[in-house]
Order: sequence, then C-alpha cells, then structure tokens
Amino acid sequence: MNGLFSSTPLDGVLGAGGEKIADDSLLRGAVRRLAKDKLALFGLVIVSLVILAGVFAPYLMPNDPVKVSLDQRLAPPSGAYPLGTDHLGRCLLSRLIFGTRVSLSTAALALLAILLISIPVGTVAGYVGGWVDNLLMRLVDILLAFPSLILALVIAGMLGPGLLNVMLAVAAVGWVGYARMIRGLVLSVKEKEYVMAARASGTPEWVIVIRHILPNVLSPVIVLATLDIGSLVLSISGLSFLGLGAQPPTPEWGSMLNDGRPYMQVAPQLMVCPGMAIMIVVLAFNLLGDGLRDALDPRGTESG
Amino acid sequence: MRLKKAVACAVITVFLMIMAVGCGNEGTKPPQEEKPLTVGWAQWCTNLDPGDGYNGWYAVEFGMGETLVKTGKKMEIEPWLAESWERVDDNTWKIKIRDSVKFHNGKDVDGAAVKASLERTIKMNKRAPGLLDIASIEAQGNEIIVKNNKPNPSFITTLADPFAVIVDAAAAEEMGDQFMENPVLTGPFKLKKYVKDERVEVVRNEDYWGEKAKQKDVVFKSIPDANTRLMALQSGEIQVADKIPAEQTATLGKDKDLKVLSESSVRVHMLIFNLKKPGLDEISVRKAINMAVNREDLAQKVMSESGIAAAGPFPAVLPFGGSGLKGYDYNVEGAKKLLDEAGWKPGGDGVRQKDGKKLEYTFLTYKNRPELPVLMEAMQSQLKEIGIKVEIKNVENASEVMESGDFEGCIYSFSTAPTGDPQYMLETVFMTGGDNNYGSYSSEKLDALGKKLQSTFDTEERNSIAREAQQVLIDDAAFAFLVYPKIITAVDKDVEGLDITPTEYYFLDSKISYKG
Repeated sequence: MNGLFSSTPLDGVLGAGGEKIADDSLLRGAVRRLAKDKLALFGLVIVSLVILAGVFAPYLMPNDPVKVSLDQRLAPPSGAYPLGTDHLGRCLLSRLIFGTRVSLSTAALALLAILLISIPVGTVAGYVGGWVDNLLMRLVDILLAFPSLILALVIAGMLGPGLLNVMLAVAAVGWVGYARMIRGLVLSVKEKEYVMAARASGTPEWVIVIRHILPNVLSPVIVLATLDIGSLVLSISGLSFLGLGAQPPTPEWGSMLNDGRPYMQVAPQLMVCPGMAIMIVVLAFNLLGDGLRDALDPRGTESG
Repeated sequence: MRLKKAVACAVITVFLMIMAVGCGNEGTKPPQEEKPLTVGWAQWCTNLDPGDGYNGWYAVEFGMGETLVKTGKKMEIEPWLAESWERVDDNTWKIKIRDSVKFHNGKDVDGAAVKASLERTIKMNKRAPGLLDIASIEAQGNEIIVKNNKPNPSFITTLADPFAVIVDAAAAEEMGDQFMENPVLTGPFKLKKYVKDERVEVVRNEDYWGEKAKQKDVVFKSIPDANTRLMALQSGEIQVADKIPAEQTATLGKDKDLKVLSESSVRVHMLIFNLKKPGLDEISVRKAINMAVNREDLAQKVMSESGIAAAGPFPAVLPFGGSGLKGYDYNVEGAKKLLDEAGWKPGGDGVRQKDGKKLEYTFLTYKNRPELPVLMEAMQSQLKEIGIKVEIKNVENASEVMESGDFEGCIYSFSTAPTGDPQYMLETVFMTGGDNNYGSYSSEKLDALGKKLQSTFDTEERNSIAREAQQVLIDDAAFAFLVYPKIITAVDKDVEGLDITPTEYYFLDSKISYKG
C-alpha cells in the first residue's frame, strides 16, 4: 500500500489540467506505454483470468466445495479430484476456485468501504482546510503511527471472527492512507484556474466539489486503488489464516492454508495450492499496478 | 526500480543465512560419553514448584516428583512413596511411607515431612482443599494419620494428583522463590538445569530409593508446534515427540528409525448444549443430534483411527467407563423421524422449523486442540443431513464464553478422571450448579447418584454408581459424547522401556534408556 502514497505519479495526470482533451491524450499515451510493458500485461492477463474464474466459479468447479466425504479424505489428485481432497474429503480445486470468489469479493468490498470513508474525509480536509483539515489529518497521523496489520488484528479480534468483521477491520486501517492522498490531490486541484473561475462566477461550494474537484480526483484514485487489491487480498488471507476471517466451511485461501498445516508432510498440496494462489494473485496485481503507475507517469523512465 | 530489487534480494539472502546459522547451532554439541535423551514436549510449565497450579504435572512427567500413590496402566491405584494404607474409620486413614525414601538433598522422607508437604499443597493449590478435604494430619514416625472433615471415599485416589507431589517443605520455606526453579523432590531424576519456558535438564538420582534409572541424562525441550516437534524428531534433534497429530502417523510408520506408541487417554471430546436455548431445551432435538453424529466416522476417519467412538463421558480404559453403557447408534432416518414427530418440519431451505423457530445454531470450537475444529466441521455436515444448520465459530477461550452463558453449543475436551475416580467430573461438570456445568444441565436423578457416590467407599459399588450416572446422562441426551482421543507419542527406535499410560502425566521413569 505504501508504494502508492510515497510516489507522486498522479501529479502528471493532474498536471495536464482539467480539460478533457488533454486527459484523453494522456490516457492514450498511458495505454501505449502499458502495452509495451510485458510484465504488466502478464499481470493484466492473470488478473483477468482470476476475476473470470471468480465470476464463473459455479460453472468451473468440478465438485461441491463444501461437500464432506470422509471416505475420500486426503485423497491424492485423480480424475474426479484434479488436485486431490482435503482433510474432510472436499475437492481442493473446487475450494480454490470458489475461494477466488470469496477472496476477491471480500477485498473488493473492503476497498469500497475504504473509499467510502476516505473520499469524504480527504475531500473535506483538503477543500475546507483550516482547523478541520488539522483535526482530520492529526487523526490520520495517529492511525498511521500504528503498525496497520497489528491494528487490524486487534480490531478483528474485538469484533469477533467472520469475513464481514475482517473486511471492516481491514477497511478501518486502510482508509487513512487514501484519505491523505485524496487530500493532497484536492489541495492541488483546488488551486486550478477552472476552480477559481467557477468560484468567481458564484458557483456554490458543494457544486464546485462535486462537479469540478471530485471527477478530477476520483478517476486516478480508483484506478490505483483497484490495483491495491493485491495487498488487501494478502491482509485478508493473513487474518483468515489466524482464524479471524472466513469461518468453516467457507473456502477462503488463508483459512485453507491454515487447515492444511497439520497435513504438511502427508498432503503438501493442501498448503502449496492455496499458498500459490495467494502468491500469484498478489503478484499479478502488483505487476499490473507497477506497470500502470509507470504508464500514468509520463516523466518516469520507460521500464521493461 | 532495479536497485530496489537488488537491495531486497540482498536483504532476503542475509536473513536466510542468519536463519540457517541459527538452525545449525542447535545440533552441534560436543560428544559426551553417554548421549542424553532429548524429549520434545508440547505443553510447558510456568515454574517447577509441584504445588503451584498444574505445574505438578511436569514435575511427575520429568521424573523428578513422586506422589504417595500412583495410577496404574489399568487406572487402579498402586503404592508409590506410600507402602500401604488402610481406612481406620469413615473419616480416618492411616498411610505408611516407605522406609528408605530420601529427598534430593539427602534428608529422610518421614511422616513429618509428608505432613508438611501435604499442608503446603493445601495452602497453595486452589484445587487441593476441596478434593483432599483434610481436617488434620498426625505424623508418627513413618506413618501419617489423616482425618477428613467428612467421609471422603476418593481421598486416596486424590493423593495421586500431581499437586500432592511430596516436596521438602522445610527447604521450600527456606528457599522462598528459589524453590520454583530448584525444587527438592524424591524422584529417580533430579534437576540439572532449568531454563524458564525453554528447557529442563535432569540427571539420574544416584541415591534413589527404588531401582536406579538406566538413563543418565534427559533433556526436555518445549516445542509447542506439532509440525516442528515432528521435524525435530525426524532430524534427530529429539528422540521423543509427544502429542503427535494422527495424520502424521502414516508418514512416521514408513520411517524405520522411528516407532509410534499410542494408548487411550482418559479424555473425552464432547458437545455441550446450552439447555436454555430454544430447541436445545427439547430432548427430541438433542437425541436427534446424538443420533445424526457418526461417531465411528469421527474416530476412524476424521481422527485417523486416533480416537475411539464414545458412549458416555468416561473412556473404556476406566473400570467404570465405556463398555456396558447403551450409547447412541448412528441412525439418520431415526433422527429425522424423531424431529418429524416433535413437529420440526423441513422448510424451503432444508432447515427444520417449528412455530417460526429454526433449528439453526452457532457452535463454538477452539484451536488449542487442533482436532476439535475439524471434528466440528465434520459434524456440521452430518447435522445438515437431518436439517439442522450449524455455524461454526472459532473462539480463543471457549470456557470463558460458556461461563458467560451466551452460547448455544460448544465442542469441548475434558480430562475425565486423571486419578481414576469418577467423583470429580460428576461433581464439577454434571451435577446441578457444578463449576463446569456450562450448559445448565440439571437432573434430580443424577444429583442423587452424585450424592450417593460422595459417601460410598466400596470400589465396585462406586463403579456401578458411576455407570448408572452415565446412563442417566446418555438417556437425557444432555450432551453428545463423541470420541475418546488416544495419546500418540513418536519415538526413536533406540529408545527403550518407554511405556505410555492413559494418565497423561506419567512419562520419565527408571526403565527408559537411549542408546544412540
């Protein structure tokens, strides 16, 4: 997550001003740059495949992911169970595929929650300024001073186990970074000529925020935040691994990893497969994110 | 970008190297004339004072501490430091202590020393006053005469509880807090080195009253994670690994250098119902749950044959346990019929309901015993068959949640009768108002049997009362008794004389030896 906030790639996007034409040419340039970045394209392909797998999970699963068949427990890979079965005889591949849906949708919802908190906070802080800005940003400073995973762990622990609670916990610590970034963007957009012009012509403040500022802030934030899903998937799996997330029998990669732990030597695929799934998804999102960040920053060097 | 990656690679490499070096240090010790036996232990003591909490378990496990009597392989009481005992009248016991017993500091163990030790235990251990229920102790030479406040038939068996390990109370008084790290006991081994939370090294006691130990040095290491314990065993770092997950026994079986020992424990894994919750207050629902659970499958498949299907609370290794009781047979159709008759009809979603109330419950489980969540998950699917929907919730401290009363059901594991006597469990778990009677079970019939047990001395009669009480529990379907887990210990083939007993705290004794 931190990589997002430490660099300032968005200055380039916004530096082009609010006019649509400039934006379009910039985006076209970005797409061109992205198309040249093979690693990012690779990430894009994987991400698309994973999302498709999640969406069409019910059609792709060879078996019912929660059906327990104790006679088949810890079976090796076979025709009926392409990756074998887990400790309760459930099809590992089906659980992995369904887990895609659980992991990605949880991460996406957490992201939505993050945006719903951080956009109003960041915008108000940036646009209103003064003591309001001071108050909100000091709150953000305090929250940023805590190690985020530990804070999420504490919150999830207090709320009790469950996917929804883990989502809330991740959102509760995730919004601060975004709020600060959005505030910065709003601050820079606020000084643009078209905002001045709108203000001079007597447009009400809330109209200025909604019609002139937010549209120019949101698109880059949403693009980059989407790519942050990788790290959200990782945090959610981590909390699930600790038993705070998905409760049985819901297949979730983190909890599958933990379930497989006692069988590490007998059936290593129970740990290897969910572990690989998490790694590939996070890697793909990160590669795509890196590529996109470079592509959106016209001043950046062309990276291979 | 590239520079960052290079730096990251370098950092990771350095970390891996540090880890590798750290691992390497463990194994390279200077060779000794006789190799010490190293044991990997799952649970660990907070200090070494046997009187304090459950630390007495470790003093006995480590071969240092001894009680007056011990529980044998068939759960019968055998003499240990005591040579013999007799009941003078209902309230009075006379116990004779062996002549030649000496503490590790050379002092003789006589009646006065035993009296001082027992009084110390009663003073410092919360469980002791109630269980021992001693009014007075009188020491005469090598004998003690104990008077109970009221007839206490389980007095002698309670003396086998490790909190009653005989310590040199005078030395304890003198040493103060030092005693927790250097206890003065009587066993075949004495303390060589104690590293808190990490390891205990013991060495043969050359002045032991009984048969001297075959093995000279033994090291106990705390290794809480089962996988780590197993890998340490495979790598030769330790020669004994306790509490091995059943799944691993298959892999271990293939290894010719290792052997696997297993023995039924005195534990039971059971389902506690909160009898105050709607649905669960109906006997038909609880009976149906009992019938829908396939105990054979849980014991044989889920626990990979490391469990024994349960009938009542007490395992069959106990003279009053298991066999002879009429438990529940696996019968899905019967369970469905029972629910139909009670008016619980399947709704559109397959979940049974009556008067707007659905058979939907949240059952708790906890991870300290790794097999419990898995058993719960298997039962979740078995109960789904008969139209009962179960959500599973993993909690950190199940007994704490149950004490609050805010729960519907919980899978829980009890050590039923560590000293081989049924009274303690009946009183604390099953009788009305018992400390651990979390589900608020109350039955006049059971309470009467419990009371009767409190004043019955004859062993045969006690056993038959205990059997009768268990049948009451089963007929009321107040709980679902699931499986009796086995204790599984994996051992290097060069370790000899190791005998696993149902009681978890007997381990190191004179017979064990290691020729590596």
